[in-house]
Formats: sequence, structure tokens, C-alpha cells
Amino acid sequence: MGNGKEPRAKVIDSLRKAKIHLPDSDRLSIALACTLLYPFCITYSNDGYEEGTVILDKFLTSHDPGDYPSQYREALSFISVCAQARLSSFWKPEYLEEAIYRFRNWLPWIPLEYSNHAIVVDYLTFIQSIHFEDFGVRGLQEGHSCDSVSSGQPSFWDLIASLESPSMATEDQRLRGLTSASFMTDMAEIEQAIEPCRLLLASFHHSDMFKPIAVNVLGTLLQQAFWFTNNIEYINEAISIFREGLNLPDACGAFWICHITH
Amino acid sequence: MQDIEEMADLVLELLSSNIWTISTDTITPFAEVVKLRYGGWEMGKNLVQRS
Repeated sequence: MGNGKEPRAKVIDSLRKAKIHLPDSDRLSIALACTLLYPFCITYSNDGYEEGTVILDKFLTSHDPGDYPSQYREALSFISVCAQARLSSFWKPEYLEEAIYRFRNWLPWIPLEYSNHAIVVDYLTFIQSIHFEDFGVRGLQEGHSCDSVSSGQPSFWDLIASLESPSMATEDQRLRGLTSASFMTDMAEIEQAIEPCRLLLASFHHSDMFKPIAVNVLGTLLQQAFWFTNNIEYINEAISIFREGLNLPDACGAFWICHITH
Repeated sequence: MQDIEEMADLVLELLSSNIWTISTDTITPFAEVVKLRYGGWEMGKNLVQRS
């Protein structure tokens, strides 16, 4: 039955043709947008990015949020994650503005009890603290401690403390604690976090789901330290750490979290 | 779950045959499968679990 097209291209073709018959189908629109945006969120290929976001934007602007809340939330989620991925990949001022805009719109739609809520708050706080001093040059307006980003949530330091007397009961909390280190912008705190993060990374088994996240958290901390100090040793270690991450079973996840936490 | 590629082939075949009247009800299952396959990327834990 195949016609020689690769699977995703065939799916896109079928969705486009189906949409000719059902131009007002929101489900088709969202499915098509997801399929178009998929390569961007996996390999950062621009192919399909514009078309996918235009479809989602059209859905978001043509509906009252209350009419289809679950689809509305989904569309906000997809478009925000893609904006974040593009910013992390290319770091252009216009992509920063877009990511801030998307995340501001998405945040009110994420229930407080979802683990993603804290991650999105952290990320939004982080990108709002960044400004571009010049084209392609990144600077930080002011440092903030990862403890102050979202009170009540476990921080990186809580996670480190829990290694001695385990108190973080859930994986969500461990994940949240680990990723929070990536949002540190105070050099003193970054420097302080690097060594425990090295030890934490070494403590994870090769197949542990947290290992790729730890790789990217440490890599990000080292990158930040390099930007503050211009000490080449930091960036050399970051490159080495990221290379190690590529050999992990969850390399795809590691790559992603890198972009989440960048 | 039916293979997504087979489903796409089926949709294309039916659409080109002019004998199928497409409706929201008939296309929704396909759209949902596609969304699950290509739209599962989310920030944070879900993404890690999927990888």
C-alpha cells in the first residue's frame, strides 16, 4: 500500500488532503501542526516550523479559550515548547520575545499541581531575566537564586541535601530540584553548584533517567560559568560533558532538557 | 493500535477513491493517533519519559 513517501510525509499529505474536505476541523489542524513541528522539536530542522505555528496561532486566535479548553491548552503547550526550542537553538532577540510571549500565555493554563507548572515558571523567570546587549550577545540583567524562583518548590540545594537524608519522595520533586540549577544566574551560586553537580552526575547509573538531565544541568552550569569568567576550562568541561551525554541511552531526552534548561 | 502509516495510506486511498464521505467522526481517530505519535513532546518529565 506504500507509495514511497517517508511515514511523516505521508501523514502530512493525508492530513492536508483531509483538511480540504474538513477545513474547519480543529483536530485535523492540531494534528497537522504537531506533525509539521515534530522535526523541529527533535532535530531543530526549520522545515515546517512556520506552517505549524501559523496553524496553531490561527486556532488560538479564532476560538474562545473556554470553548475547547483541552485543545486550547494543547495548542498553547505545543507552540510554547517550539518557541522555547527555537530560542535555545538560535538565541535571537526576536525568538526571546516570542518565547516570553508564548510562555506568558501558556502559564495560566497549566494547573498548579502539574510538575510542568514549576518548570515553566522557572523557565519564564529565566528568559525574562535575560536581555540582549547587542545582536547575538547574551547578558544577564541580574542574578537570581534558584531558591527564589518559585517558592515552595524543591531547589537544587534541597536535592543535594536529600542525598544525605532522603526527603524528596517523588520523581517530580527530584526532577524539579535538578532542573532548577539550570536557572541559576548568580556566579557565586553557580560556582558553588558545579562540584555537587559533578558528584551527582557521577552517582547516577548509566541508564538512570536522571543522568541525561544531570549531564545537561552540569553542562549548562559550566557554560554559564564560562560566560561569567571567560575561563576556557569551564567550556572545555561543558563540551566533554555534553559529548558524554550523547552516548547515553536517553540522549534524545538529554538533548531536549539541554534546550529546556539552556 | 493500527500502524500510523497504514492509517495514512488508508485515508489517502479513500480520499482519492471519491467513494468515501469524510466526516469529523471518521477522521478524528486518525487525528488523535497522529497527535499522540508526533505531538507528545512536552517540557519536563513527560519528555524525558518519552525519550
